[in-house]
Order: sequence, then structure tokens, then C-alpha cells
Amino acid sequence: MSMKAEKVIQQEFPSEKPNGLEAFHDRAHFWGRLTLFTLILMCLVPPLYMSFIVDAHPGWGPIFTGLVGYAGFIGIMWVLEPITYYPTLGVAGTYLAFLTGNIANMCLPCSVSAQKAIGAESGSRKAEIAGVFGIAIASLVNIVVIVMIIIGGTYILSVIPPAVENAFQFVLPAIFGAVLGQFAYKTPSYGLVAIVVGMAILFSPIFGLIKIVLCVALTISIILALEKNKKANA
Amino acid sequence: MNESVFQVANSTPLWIMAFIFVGIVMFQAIVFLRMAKKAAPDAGMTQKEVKTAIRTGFISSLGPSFAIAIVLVSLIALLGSPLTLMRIGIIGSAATESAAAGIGADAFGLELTSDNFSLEAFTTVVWTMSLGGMGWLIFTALFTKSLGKTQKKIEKKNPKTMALISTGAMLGAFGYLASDQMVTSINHTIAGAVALISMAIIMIVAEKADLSWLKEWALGIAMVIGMTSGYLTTFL
Repeated sequence: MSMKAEKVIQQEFPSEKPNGLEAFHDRAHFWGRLTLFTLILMCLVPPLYMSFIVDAHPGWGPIFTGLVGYAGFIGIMWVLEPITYYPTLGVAGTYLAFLTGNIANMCLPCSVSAQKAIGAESGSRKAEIAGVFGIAIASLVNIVVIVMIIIGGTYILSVIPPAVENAFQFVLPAIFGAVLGQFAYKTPSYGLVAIVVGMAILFSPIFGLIKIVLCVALTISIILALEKNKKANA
Repeated sequence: MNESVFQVANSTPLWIMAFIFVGIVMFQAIVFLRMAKKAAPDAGMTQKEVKTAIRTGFISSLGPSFAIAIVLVSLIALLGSPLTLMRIGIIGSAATESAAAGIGADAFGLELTSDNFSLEAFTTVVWTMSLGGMGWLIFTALFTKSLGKTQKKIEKKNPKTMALISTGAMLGAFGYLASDQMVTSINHTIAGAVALISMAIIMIVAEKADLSWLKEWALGIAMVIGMTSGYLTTFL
């Protein structure tokens, strides 16, 4: 059974050696987990320092209230976001993106751009590795830019003409639109599906945070159905 | 932020912690880069394609990083530089973390901008952001392995399906994100639509004329054209 499956994969992506990436995934799990757990422990250091070394402990009551408030506000995304983005990020991309943050506005666009620049097909191993390059480099660039701006701070920003700064209020629709364009240029119908589903769900009376998840689930089903139809007609 | 809170919020120990955060993220990125380089031939990627992917990642990340930095500067006044660097530059995003800061301050019974915002209130904010932000880290640390196994199962059944799921997931997410932004104002709509169309044109031209460098610049160019159109139409 598994022999057969491997054959299928090789026919689909002839230049890939499916076993060669097993080692990559094992290493990605190991280093991904190690770095994430290190960061998790490190996350406790600043609050513990503030509470017990600076001696400004507010009491556990407010801390608990804060956590419950946070969980109520966005806690559902702790689970839903990694699952939603996993199909595009892959194993290594998930470890990278969730550690460095700014997933939709930086990591995913850079991952897709790297994939499209070398013409890798979405979901293939080639796309997965290209995406890792895209995200890892983006993570490094982001840190360098942010550290520079935080240290150089207000000076750097005062040199930027106000027009440029004002234009940046439109950066998000521009990034998101551009990423859609990267998919739509080959199959415009896909782009249309995405926007129609996006708008329909945006305006439907559903609990805000799960809208994006619904949108992803619905679009996946539509794309699968469309391709099935295509096959049936062919 | 009052004087005593400001001093602690910008004190050396917090700066050192912030740079440990920076160190962990950089370390991870470098480890994964080296891993990907090793795995590239097995994934059917040539040396040239590796270079292209790296260059594309670099060019494409400049605009988004700069945008993050601009938002970030506005939050330094509320949280101090080290905490802003730890929470917003790395790990979280501006929207989530500033909401978290508000929730934390609220839990202590004060507004973030209040004059008597005390050191204890600040500590509550630090706790709320740190614990709240951990949710994603814990989930991905524990469950990415299971997601990987599920992916392999789907691929064994039908390798083509995973490609479609991946495309669908991306389209769905960005269809929603773009719609959500584009309904903000007519200028946002223009920025999004122009960026989408520019990207499509750039990619088609790059493919027809076989200009691989243009694909590397595609996201940067489309983003700037979209942003500029959005901004210029505010004058109409």
C-alpha cells in the first residue's frame, strides 16, 4: 500500500525524493519545539521579574482577570490560527511563523512570493522549502528593521516624509490584494471565489473571530469541488 | 506613562530580556535556513532557485517590516521600548498586543493612559501579554507534529488533494483579509484592487517575457503601487 503511494508521489512531482525530506521534517520538529519551548519559558521571565524583583506584584487576582479577559477576547485563535495557516505554512513554516509573529501581514506574503518566484506548485515539497526560505529571511529582516527603528527611534521616522508615512495607512489592503493577485493571475476564477466568499462571510452575522476560519474551510471545499467537476468533465 | 513606571519600563534588565527574545528568534531563523539549504536538493530545488527564494524573501519583507515598525513606534509611549520590542516586534502583532495591553490595564482597574497608572498596573499588563501570547506558542509547539502527520495521511491517499487544500486555504484567508480591509473606505478598496491587478499584470509580464527578477520584486512593486493609489485618491 505504502509502496504504491510513494509511486504516485513520484509521478506527481518527478524531481522530488520523498524520503529525503523525512530527515528535514524530523529536524524541523526538533529545533522548532526546542526554540518554541525556550521562548515560552523566556516569556515568563519579564512578568516574574516585574512581580518579584522589582516588587510590583499586583496580586494574582488582576493577573487572572487579565488572562481570562485575553482568553475571552482571542483565546479561540490559539487553536484555530495554527490549524488555519498550517496548509500553507507547512511544518517548518509553522514553527517559524508562530515564533516570529506577524503571520498574515508578513510571513505568508513572503512565503508565497518565494514560492511563486521559482514557480513551485502550492502544497508541493518544493513550495514548502521555498516558503521556509521566504519566512526565515523575512523574520531576520523584520528583526533588523525593528531593532534599528526602536534604537534609532524617532529620528529615523522624522526623516521620512509625511506623505510616505500617510501612504502606509493603506499597506494592509495593498499587501492582501497583492497576495490574492499572485494566485488569481493563473486562475482568475480562484481569485473571484476568494473575494466573493470573503465578502459574503464578512457581511454575514457570524461571531467575528471565526469568520476567517469559515472562509478558509468554505474556499477549500469550493476549490476541491471545482477541481472534481473539472476532472469529471474531462 | 508616569516617570517611575517609565524608568522601570526602559530599565536595563528589561532591555537585556528583549535582546534575549531577539536572539532566540534570530537563532531559529538561522537554524531553519541551514536546514532548508540542506533539504533543497531533495525537494527538487536547484542552487539558483535557492538564491531566488532568498532574494525574494528579502525584497518582499522590507515593506511589511517597515509598516510594522511604524505602528510599533506609536506604542512605545504606552509600553516602553523593551516591552514593545519583545511583544509587538516579535511574537505578536500590533493589533492583538495593544488590545492585550488594554485588557491587562483594565484587569487592574486603570486605563493605559491614566495619570495614576502605577508600576503594579504595568506589571499586570506585562503578565497579560506574556501569558496570553503563550497560547499560540504552546499550541504550535505541541500540535504541529500531529498536523504534519495528518498532512502525510492526506498525501498518501491523493497527493493532488494537499496542493488544492493549500491553495484553497491561502485563497480563503486572503480573500477574507483583503475584503475586511477593503470595506474600510473607498481608498482602501482602491489600494487593494489596484495591488491585486498590478500583481496579476506583473506576474503575467514576468512569465511572458521570462523575467525572473521581476517575480522577485513583484510583491514589493504591487504593494507600493497599491499604497500609492490608495493615498493619492484621498486628494480627489
